[in-house]
Amino acid sequence: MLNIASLKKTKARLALLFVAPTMLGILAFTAGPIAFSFILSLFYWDVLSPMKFAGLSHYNYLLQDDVAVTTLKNTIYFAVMVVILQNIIGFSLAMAVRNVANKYFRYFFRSVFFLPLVMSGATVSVFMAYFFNTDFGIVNYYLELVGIGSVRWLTSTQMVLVTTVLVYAWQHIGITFILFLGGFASIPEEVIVAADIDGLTGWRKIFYIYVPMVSPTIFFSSVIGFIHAVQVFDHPYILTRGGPGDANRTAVMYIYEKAFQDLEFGYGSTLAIILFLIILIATILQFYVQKKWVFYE
Amino acid sequence: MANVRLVGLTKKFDGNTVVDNVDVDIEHGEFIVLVGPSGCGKSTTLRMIAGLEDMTEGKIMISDRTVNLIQPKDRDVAMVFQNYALYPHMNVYKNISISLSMRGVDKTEIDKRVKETAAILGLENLLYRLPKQLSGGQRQRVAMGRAIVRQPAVFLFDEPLSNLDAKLRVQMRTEIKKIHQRVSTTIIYVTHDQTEAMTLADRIVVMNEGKIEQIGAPQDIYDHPKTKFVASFIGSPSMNFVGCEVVKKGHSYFIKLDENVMIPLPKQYHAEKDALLDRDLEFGFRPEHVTEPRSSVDRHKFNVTVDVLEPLGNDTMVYFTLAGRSCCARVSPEYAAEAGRGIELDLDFAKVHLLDGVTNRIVPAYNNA
Ligand SMILES: Nc1ncnc2c1ncn2[C@@H]1O[C@H](COP(=O)(O)OP(=O)(O)O)[C@@H](O)[C@H]1O
Ligand SMILES: [Mg+2]
Repeated sequence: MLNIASLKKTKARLALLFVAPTMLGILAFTAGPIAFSFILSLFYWDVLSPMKFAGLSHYNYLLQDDVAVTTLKNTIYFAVMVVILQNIIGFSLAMAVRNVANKYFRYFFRSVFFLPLVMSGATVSVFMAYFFNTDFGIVNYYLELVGIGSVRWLTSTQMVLVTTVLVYAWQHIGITFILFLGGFASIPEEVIVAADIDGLTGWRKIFYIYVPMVSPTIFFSSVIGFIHAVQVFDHPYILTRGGPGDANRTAVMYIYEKAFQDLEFGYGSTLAIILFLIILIATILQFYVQKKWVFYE
Repeated sequence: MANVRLVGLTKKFDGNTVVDNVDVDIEHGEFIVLVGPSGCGKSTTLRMIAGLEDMTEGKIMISDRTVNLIQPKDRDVAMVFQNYALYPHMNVYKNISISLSMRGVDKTEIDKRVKETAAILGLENLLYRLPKQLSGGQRQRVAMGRAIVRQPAVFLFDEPLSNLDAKLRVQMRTEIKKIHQRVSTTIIYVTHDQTEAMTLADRIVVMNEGKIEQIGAPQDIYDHPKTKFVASFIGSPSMNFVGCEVVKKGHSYFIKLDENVMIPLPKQYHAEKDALLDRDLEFGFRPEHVTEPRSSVDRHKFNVTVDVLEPLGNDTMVYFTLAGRSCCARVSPEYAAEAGRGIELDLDFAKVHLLDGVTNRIVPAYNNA
């Protein structure tokens, strides 16, 4: 006779076998490094000489390190701007493409908006640096042509982070765009039609119907967009090496500089742990706040 | 007064004519049902009336005003859909009231009208629920509430009951009729269900392949269908058709179904009897007009073999083969019959039809009225 209890045990063991690779992967490549970073953050270590216990002194130092504070501020500002911009543009593009009648044009636009995503951030930044060059960039050429005059896109401390936001958002818009296309496709046609008859047209239709009905998409694209943008490195690095001053220096860039250029691995790890906590808290916050505004059917 | 006129209404999709030259005059307060098989262009017609679809040709008038170029929201129509189309993120109150707030009606007036509407539909206790917390029947009520609250000139219903189960469907049917009696707004109602059409309509418009087959009061359409399509589409089970010819023997005329079954030509066809000779005809009769033998003058008895029996409780449907065609009769349950056995049936002459096999139109009968 078959023993139910032992059958269950066998099944549980089998299940463990199936999840084991993933669990091992997470341990080795995610949880492990996080734990290791945390330990490192409590030590002085320059790779060459032996590690020396530092206690919380790195954390203390961070509070007085103006550059660290600036880079964290820059990073959060950058990520928030990117998320807002991507949501607005992704939403609008998807809305526009959805209304393109010819299906071949629709396919065309879908591919075009997705294309920058397959390029590397470095490549994009190299040619964008030319585009936004103050003196011979094409952007300023047109701005002068229409009489606005030239903007110091990459050399002004006020503008440089904004420019980086534009470049980054431009490259990644494909993801948000595709997410919103999917979001719109899930709105039943009749609901839109009912809105037409009910007199919900133009902006009202957008704010009363479209936005609430794609709120899960807005939420999702904000969460992954933020997590991704906070870790930005290559765009500001290639565009201006973080300059002028520290205006374009982001957290990951500073971590890299501290750890791999100055060989302060302990302090670099401290910065990394703080960044990790910021992402964690921001994500938890977003999940908490979404209950108030995201609507799931 | 909200009358609706469709004049030469035509819709083509990529060269396919989906609605073909439809003319209907709808009186104020009338309950019109567009009925026909799925794909015959009912929804397209309704969507054109609502302004959701451009017409290829023709004219639509609502309250004596041509609305061809008028936006849906300005046509003063409200529409109810098969799948409810409620705004899923708004509660019942908001779903019902939003069209009013979009039109700038003031808050106390909105509240009053929403409460009134909710009372008519029995939604008072559900006003603060979301659509996902409602049953199918309740959702359909909210969809109707959303239409009623606006007090539009015309209600447009597109198969509003098709997603409900059979019992609820019958119940909601009665309610829709009650609502119409109460608000007496013009209703244009689309369905593929002929029973719904019969029970609800003041007048039925039977459509087939984009064309109107016949317009008339339900009973009139049932009793005097003009085409084979209408005759078989309206009524369930549908009308029986058997190939026949009209023959003359001596001074008497007969409908000859086959060598065994000859039926004296019914009175209503006597006026034109010579014109019926040598024509390609079909003989049509409804199941309820073939019964167990009854004593009456205008009847004809004949014997058949039972193929299948279908007891319905109140009646029993008897399927048999007549002149090579499967036919159906409705007999009383007590009239014992058994599959494979012979049975005597009795046909009511006054109610039979002759169909022109070439044009597929019913041959007009005369002293029939
Ligand atoms: N947008 C459209 N494009 C092309 N053909 C359509 C469109 N809408 C409906 N049709 C076609 O028109 C015909 C009638 O459709 P419809 O009015 O929805 O029928 P019904 O409501 O009577 O079932 C169908 O053959 C359908 O395939
Ligand atoms: Mg339809």
